[in-house]
Amino acid sequence: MSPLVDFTVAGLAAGTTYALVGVGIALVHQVTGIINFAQGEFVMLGALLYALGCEGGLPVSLAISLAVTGTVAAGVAMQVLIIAPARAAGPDRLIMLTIGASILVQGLCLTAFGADQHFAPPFSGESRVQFLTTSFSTQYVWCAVLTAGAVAGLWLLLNRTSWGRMLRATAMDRDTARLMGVSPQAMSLLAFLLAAALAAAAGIVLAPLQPPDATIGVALGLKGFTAAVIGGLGSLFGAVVGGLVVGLVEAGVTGYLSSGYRDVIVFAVLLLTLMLRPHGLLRRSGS
Amino acid sequence: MTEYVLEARGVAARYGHIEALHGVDLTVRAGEAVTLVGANGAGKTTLLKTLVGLVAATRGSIRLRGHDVTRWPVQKRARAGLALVPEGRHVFSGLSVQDNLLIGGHGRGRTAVRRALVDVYDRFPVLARRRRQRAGSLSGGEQQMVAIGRALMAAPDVLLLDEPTLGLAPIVVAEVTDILTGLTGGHTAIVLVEQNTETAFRVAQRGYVLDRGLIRRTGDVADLRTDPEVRAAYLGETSRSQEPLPLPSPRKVTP
Ligand SMILES: Nc1ncnc2c1ncn2[C@@H]1O[C@H](COP(=O)(O)OP(=O)(O)O)[C@@H](O)[C@H]1O
Ligand SMILES: [Mg+2]
Repeated sequence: MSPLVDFTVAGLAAGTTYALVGVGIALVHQVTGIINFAQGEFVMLGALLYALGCEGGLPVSLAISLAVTGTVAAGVAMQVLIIAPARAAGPDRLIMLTIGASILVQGLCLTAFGADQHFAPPFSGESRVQFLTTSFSTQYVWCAVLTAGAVAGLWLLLNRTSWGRMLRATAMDRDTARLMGVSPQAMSLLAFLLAAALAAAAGIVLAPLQPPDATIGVALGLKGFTAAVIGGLGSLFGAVVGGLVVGLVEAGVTGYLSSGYRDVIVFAVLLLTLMLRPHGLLRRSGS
Repeated sequence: MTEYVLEARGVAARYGHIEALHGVDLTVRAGEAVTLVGANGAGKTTLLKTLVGLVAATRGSIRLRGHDVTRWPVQKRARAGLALVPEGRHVFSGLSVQDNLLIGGHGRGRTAVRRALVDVYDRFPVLARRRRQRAGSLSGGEQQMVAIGRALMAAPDVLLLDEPTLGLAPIVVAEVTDILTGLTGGHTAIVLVEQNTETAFRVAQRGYVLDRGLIRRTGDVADLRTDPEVRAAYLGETSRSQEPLPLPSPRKVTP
């Protein structure tokens, strides 16, 4: 076993989750101006529903459907019941509401499902992939494949469909998009829906690697936010890179220092990015 | 039904405590081309923004094809046939030329959009050649064509244009003026805001002179263009424009 390979693989796997959370946060931010701090809770919900489905004996396809449907429904409900009615308050204040929503989602999940961890089997059982002198669980490959698939699907939707065109136009210039008849509320709803679908995907691949409970959302949300900030909050590609960076830093710290420093170091990265490169690591500063 | 496709009555608008429009009447008949002229800061942009809903009317009413749209959101007015080519063009610079145009046709049927696209490319052959290019990479004149073409994609009943020749080279101004002239006489009524009175008076049949939030003169373009007082006081064309104008203060709230 090579620890370096292990840390890298585990770091990239965790990183793909943060990447999907970050992409969801960046997408919603671009379209609505809101930073959705509840995004991590949707990953938690997706992971929990998937694991509960598996524990309940559902076949994988049905467990996946359950997780995606439930998470997307929660994302849509949040937009319709909390964000849309308060939209006159403006994005800055709506950010506070997303923190409230995050506490609400966590509370509801604790009430409904308890605080216990739940377990989902890896997609391909216990099979492992041979790599150089070491091997790792096939689930890590699934992680990479599904993340790439989700990001590619989002890219196609944004670049090849009329809904995607409207989303991008709204992100670039909301008022001018309205002048073309595009409803910002409809675009906000679509952005929240897509972000929730990404969160569900993240939760489903995460569940077999890290048994979820109702409290994992907060850390996921903050790490996804860090990923999005590293990517400049404007670029979906940047958020993916940001997520992988966060995952690798975290795995490196856990492996070579101590897991106790893990979160501290990640948030130090967030702080440093905000102080030194507020427009993200990938963007020219000041733009 | 009224005889007007667009009818604004006593429209007022304010920014914070400062009222920028003090009760403006403006009417447009179907297919007609009118111009709105006036010095910098007169309230022309504010009036257009109020008509489309980007600025709320604090008094008065706006009717579009007979519907009272005064409280309608921007996007609903747009879908009801009102289009604005905003000051500064505002093309979606990260989208291709064709995507910009398609956004303009959003909400229409597939066939209508395809036909409108052919029409716009006919009118602006340069856009057809650059259809895959990022709109932001085009020249100012070409971007103006994107902005106008994008608005035409909706086949609007009323097309509002805010200073479409601003910042363009003289030869491009002539080109845009020709384009605007070519738009007149069809289904779409035009409201053209211009500081360039040469362009304004060539395109429109009827004009309004706006000064400090009030309509000061209205009539046929032929009469307005020869009216020495209009030329001197309201259009800033001679040295007299520097003198204080004998008009109500812009802060006066009740007319
Ligand atoms: N966003 C704004 N906030 C405050 N005042 C504004 C704003 N936009 C325009 N104004 C003021 O409203 C008046 C009319 O401006 P505007 O409609 O832009 O005039 P015009 O288009 O004729 O040059 C001006 O006195 C201007 O300073
Ligand atoms: Mg103006």
